[in-house]
Amino acid sequence: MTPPAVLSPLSLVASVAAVAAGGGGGSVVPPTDVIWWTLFHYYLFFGLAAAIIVIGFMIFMTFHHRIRKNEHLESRQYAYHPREHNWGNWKLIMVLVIITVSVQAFVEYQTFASTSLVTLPSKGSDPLTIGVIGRQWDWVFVYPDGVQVVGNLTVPQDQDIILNITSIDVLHAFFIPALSVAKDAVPGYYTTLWFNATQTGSYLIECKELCGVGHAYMLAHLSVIPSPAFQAWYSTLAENNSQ
Amino acid sequence: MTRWISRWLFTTNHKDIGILYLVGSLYFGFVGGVLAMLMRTQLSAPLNSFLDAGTYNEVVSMHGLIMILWFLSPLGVALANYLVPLQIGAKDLALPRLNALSFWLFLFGGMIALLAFVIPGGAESSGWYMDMPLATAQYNPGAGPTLVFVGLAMDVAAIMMTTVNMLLTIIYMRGPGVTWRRVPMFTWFTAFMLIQAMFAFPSLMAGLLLLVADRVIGTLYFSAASGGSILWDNVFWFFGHPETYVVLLPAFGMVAEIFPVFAHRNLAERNLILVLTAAAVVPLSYLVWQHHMFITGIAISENQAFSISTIMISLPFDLIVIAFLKTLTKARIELTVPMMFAWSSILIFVVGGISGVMLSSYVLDVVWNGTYFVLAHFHYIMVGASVFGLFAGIYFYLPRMTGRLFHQGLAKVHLILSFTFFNVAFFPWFFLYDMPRRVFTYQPLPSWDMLNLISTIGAYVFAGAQILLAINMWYTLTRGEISPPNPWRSPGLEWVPNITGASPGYSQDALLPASSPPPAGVQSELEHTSARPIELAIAMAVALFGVALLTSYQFGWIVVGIGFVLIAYSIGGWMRDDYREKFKIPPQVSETWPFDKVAKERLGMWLFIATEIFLFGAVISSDIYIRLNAPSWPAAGSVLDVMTGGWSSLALISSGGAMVLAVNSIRQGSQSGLVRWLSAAFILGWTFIVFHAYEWYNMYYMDKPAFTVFSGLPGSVYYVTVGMHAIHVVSGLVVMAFVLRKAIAGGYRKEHHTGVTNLMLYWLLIDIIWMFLFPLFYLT
Repeated sequence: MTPPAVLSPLSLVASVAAVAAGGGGGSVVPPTDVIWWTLFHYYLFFGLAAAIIVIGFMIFMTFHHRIRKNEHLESRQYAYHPREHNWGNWKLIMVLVIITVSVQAFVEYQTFASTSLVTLPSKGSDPLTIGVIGRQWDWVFVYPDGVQVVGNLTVPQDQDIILNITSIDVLHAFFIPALSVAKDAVPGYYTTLWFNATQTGSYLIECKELCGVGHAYMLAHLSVIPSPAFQAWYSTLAENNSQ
Repeated sequence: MTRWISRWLFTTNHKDIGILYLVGSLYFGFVGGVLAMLMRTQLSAPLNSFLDAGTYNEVVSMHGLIMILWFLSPLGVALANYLVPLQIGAKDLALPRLNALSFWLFLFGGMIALLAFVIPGGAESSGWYMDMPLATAQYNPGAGPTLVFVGLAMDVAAIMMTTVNMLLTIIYMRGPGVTWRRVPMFTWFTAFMLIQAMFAFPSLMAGLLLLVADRVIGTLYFSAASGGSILWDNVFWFFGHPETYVVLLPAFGMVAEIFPVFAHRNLAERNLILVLTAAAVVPLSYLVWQHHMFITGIAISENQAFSISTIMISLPFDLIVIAFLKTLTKARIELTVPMMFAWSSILIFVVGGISGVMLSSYVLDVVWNGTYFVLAHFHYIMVGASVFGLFAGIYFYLPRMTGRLFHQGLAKVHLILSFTFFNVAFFPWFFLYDMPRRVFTYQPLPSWDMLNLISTIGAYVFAGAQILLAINMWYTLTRGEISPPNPWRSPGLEWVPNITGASPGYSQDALLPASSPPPAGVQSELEHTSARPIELAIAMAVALFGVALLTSYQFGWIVVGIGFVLIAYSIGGWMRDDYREKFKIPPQVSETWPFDKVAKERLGMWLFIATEIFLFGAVISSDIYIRLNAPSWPAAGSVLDVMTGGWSSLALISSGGAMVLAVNSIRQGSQSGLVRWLSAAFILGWTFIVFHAYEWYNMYYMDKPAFTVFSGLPGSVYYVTVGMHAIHVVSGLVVMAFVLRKAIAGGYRKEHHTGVTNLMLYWLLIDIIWMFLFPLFYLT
């Protein structure tokens, strides 16, 4: 889960923005964010390159070959002979196929290499497991000691967090944009996601699956606080609950 | 006036129906556009209160359904209806009355779906892909949503019928000399689209039947905690993904027609495009559906498999686009309005396609799934690539349809405004990758506010510009300059009648101006009108409206009853017409390899059977899925009586055997044998139904505890599936009564007994399906 030494500029912008929004401390970009943005830049690079080449070629060819206003078109320069259609320039086709397939295989490989975003971290990381219940229209967080908190997920900084997500009514989707993680909340099933919040602050949690009239307001907050503060908060929570 | 009515309401002419489809789908496009404007108004500023959440959810759901299933798909069908027979030199579609029935089902289905806005419960509000269990009666109660679903079922039935009809036409009705190698590109792409639709739509049909059963009868398919929502995801997206290509392929067909004409050269790599579409796009489109489910918690290995298949399907599209671009090289390009619409379609498709490749990554999709990024991607494909391509087709063929030229200036303004403000409206959505879709409002956030406002402004202008198309169409029809016979100097066969006035064998032009009337005598033998299709469609709309009312009101039964009387009346009338050979189309000779050994009606039957297999396949798979996920299931023999089931199975299978012997008799020329064995098959078929009725009566009223449709998942699954099969048996028996009557009157001969053979095929299909159902429910 160690971030690569060099982060691409956009991801830094994103993390800076996240910090600015949350107003918190900590300088390490969250690992899930690192995985997502690094992968995104591979796709973005090839996507932009392909778009520029193809669209550029298209615009150039069209305007290069256009018939000018005062130009008189002598006669039809083609005739319709279906039998004349042949297989064209198959060498060019093969080159294009090889280039395309190579790029596709490369980005697909990068996706496979980023699978750790959607699988759970290894056991050695001592994660904190929290249950999440989606219901119309708020999020309930169930801590290991059984205490339930509605609408506010408080987690310690720099610790792997695993969420076990389910729903008690309809489909929801649990989404933390600032950490690039999301998973559906499916009635009758448990789904999981993990993250490690490296920067303290408050982040938005959204529902991104239509779940009825309260969908837009099915928001929650993720509060990331330093580990000691979390311990203190957690014990008061348990005390308040037992009283 | 009466002439007008019989012309437009009773027509079975493929051109007239093409025009009707065109007007109908543009009307629904207008409605969907108004809904879009309501949404963009609401979203133009944060915390806006123009629409409330409930209304917004109805509007967003209906916008998607209307645009995809009542605007885009039928718009492709409209052009195909008009052009395919012309392009292949056919006199009409293979089954003209079925074609008319398809149109009216599409229209009335859409009408009753729109009616849902004003009846209690409101329109459907669970998104265009109807999230489960949100779309069930528990979370989305009332008759309104059910009305949308039955309306949708009518539309789906229409498309399934059109599919069989047009495939049959393309295979069987090609004129002399139109070999497979000479079939034009638009017809090819229509054929590919139809093949996709043939296998995709039955899955949606099955899903809708189960959903309506859930809502009206009270079964538990999609509200089951044991995976109802994932079941729906699978059933829906198995349809949903091929559907995007159903929408896209006719547009590509248009581009392939238009590019060569205005680039003044042959289409480059024609064979490559055809082979790639047939061999890669069509089959792969069925293997990518789970990429819509990357974050539902399906296994990583499934994520990876579907990610690979999704990126694989981009390869043929890459090459097809490159082939289109190659057509622009070594060319002399006329920048006409149709050309530039087709050109815009491809340019926008490039952007949409690349964002699609990005979405194929199951890791990136974690963030983008369910946000405006996905919306941007598929609006680029659906609105950009498809609509621009189809609009190119409308402009290109307006002179062919009306005999007049459209207004150039108006069309250019339409083009420029559309292209510019399409991008203004939808490109900002790529940057709203962290804004969830379908929220009716959002918290103030500097980045979201500005992008949403820009998008709203773009959407207003883009939508407003579309009015220019309507104005231009009206202008063309009423005061456009008279067009030369082939204004674009296209080599296509579809322009031929305009060049020569009208060649024998071509049906009357739909909207040709009075100045160039078709020569007398040409259309006389083909002037066939029938009131039955519109009667039957209205009857079905009434019956299904009643079914929807049943969700909340008992008096729905009265409406259902009226509907069934009307259905019986119109089907009876249809059969009477057939019996008296009142409606007759001259047979057509054509080169039909590789189908020259199969009669046209027989091939139609086989295509119908293919869709039926997919329908039952989807339902049976759903049953098995539910069963595997259910916590418990009654043991074999504990609820259903194996003996009763066994006897009824024996009756049905014997009935199938009798049917085979009936066909055998008439093949040998024995009319008395035909009547004898048909009667046996008929009686045995009813025996099967009687056994069922006895069994169901016992389980409902005698058994303690009663095994009913409401008594849990096993009951739901059993009654719905077996009930669906029983409805098929009864329909078969109704047709059999008709065939029997004709057989007694001596209507079948040794040389001519297609009706009996087709009934046998259908009857054996019913038998085979039962051979799956019997072990599934009685023995395991």
